[in-house]
Amino acid sequence: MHLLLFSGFLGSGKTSFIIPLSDAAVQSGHRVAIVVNEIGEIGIDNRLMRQLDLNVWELVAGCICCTLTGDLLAILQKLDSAYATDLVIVEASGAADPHNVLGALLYYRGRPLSSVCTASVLDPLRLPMLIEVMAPLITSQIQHADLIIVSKTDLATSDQIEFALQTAREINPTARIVSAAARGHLGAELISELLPWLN
Amino acid sequence: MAELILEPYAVSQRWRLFGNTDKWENLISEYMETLARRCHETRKGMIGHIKALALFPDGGYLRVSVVSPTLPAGVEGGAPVHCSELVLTLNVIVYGLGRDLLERITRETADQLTKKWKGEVTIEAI
Repeated sequence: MHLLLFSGFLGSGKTSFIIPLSDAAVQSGHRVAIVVNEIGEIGIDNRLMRQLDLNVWELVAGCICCTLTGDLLAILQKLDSAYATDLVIVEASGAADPHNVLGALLYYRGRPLSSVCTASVLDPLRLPMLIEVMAPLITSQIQHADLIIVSKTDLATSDQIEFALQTAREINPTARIVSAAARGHLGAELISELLPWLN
Repeated sequence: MAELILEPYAVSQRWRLFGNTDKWENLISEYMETLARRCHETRKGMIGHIKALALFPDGGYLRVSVVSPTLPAGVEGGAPVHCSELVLTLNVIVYGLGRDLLERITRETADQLTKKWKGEVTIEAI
C-alpha cells in the first residue's frame, strides 16, 4: 500500500488536487482510499468526495497530528488488511503538522508501506501573511514535504508565485517544487511526481 | 490582528428562492464573500477557510470556498436549472472570533441576503 500525505494550510487547494489525482489512480485500475481530516464539526470535503463517488474515510473533530493519531493508524491498518488498498491519500487538516503525522506512522503495524510521499500545497496569495502569523506551522509543512506544490498560479501575480517558490526553496532545498493552477488540472508530469509507481 | 483562537462554527441551512432560481452560484458566492468581509471587519478575524457544499434535491452541487476578505469565492460544480431550493453545509474556520459571534454573523448575513434575493433560509442542524 502506497501512502500519499497532503499537507498545507487551510484553503491552499489540497482537495482540488486530491480529487483528480484519485481519479487518475482509479482509472489506472488501482484501489484508492482517501482519508480526510477536517477542522470543524461537519466535514465539507468528505461530503463532496462522496458526492463524486470516491472512497472516503473521514476523521473530524480533531487533528490527525495529535488527538486523532490513533484513529488514523487504525484506518490505515483496516485499509490494508480488509480492503487490500493500493493507495491511501491522507488529506491532513490545514492546521496539522506533517512532522507529527509522519512520526505517528512509526507505530503503524500493518504490512510495510510500499512508499510514503508527503506533498505540501502552498497558497501564494496568502503566504506572506501566513509566514508572518503562523511561521512554525507553515515552515514545518514546507520542511517535511518531498514535493511542494505552489497552487493558484492562475490567480496569483508573478511576484507572489516567485515569493512562494523562493520561500519553499529556502526552507526545503531538497524538495521538488512545482506550480499548478487553482482548479486542480493535474498534468501528467505532476501525477507522475506524486504517484511515480502508477502505470 | 485578533488573538489567534480557533473556534470553528458549522451549520446546515436550507435555502429557498421565490424569484429567479438560476442564480444560485451568484447568491452563494455573495454569501461567502460577505461572511469573509464581515469576519475580517469584526475584530480583524483572520480567515482560515470558509467553505460550503450546496446539494440540490434533484442532483448537482456547488462547492464554494473563500480564504480572504478581498478575494472572490472559488466555485466548483454546477446548479441544475430552475431549482428553487438547496441544502447548504457551511464550515466557518476563522481565527480570532468565537463561535457565538460566528453564529450571529452567519445568521445575520443569511437574513440580509434572503431579503435581497427574495427567499428564505432555515437552520437544518448545527
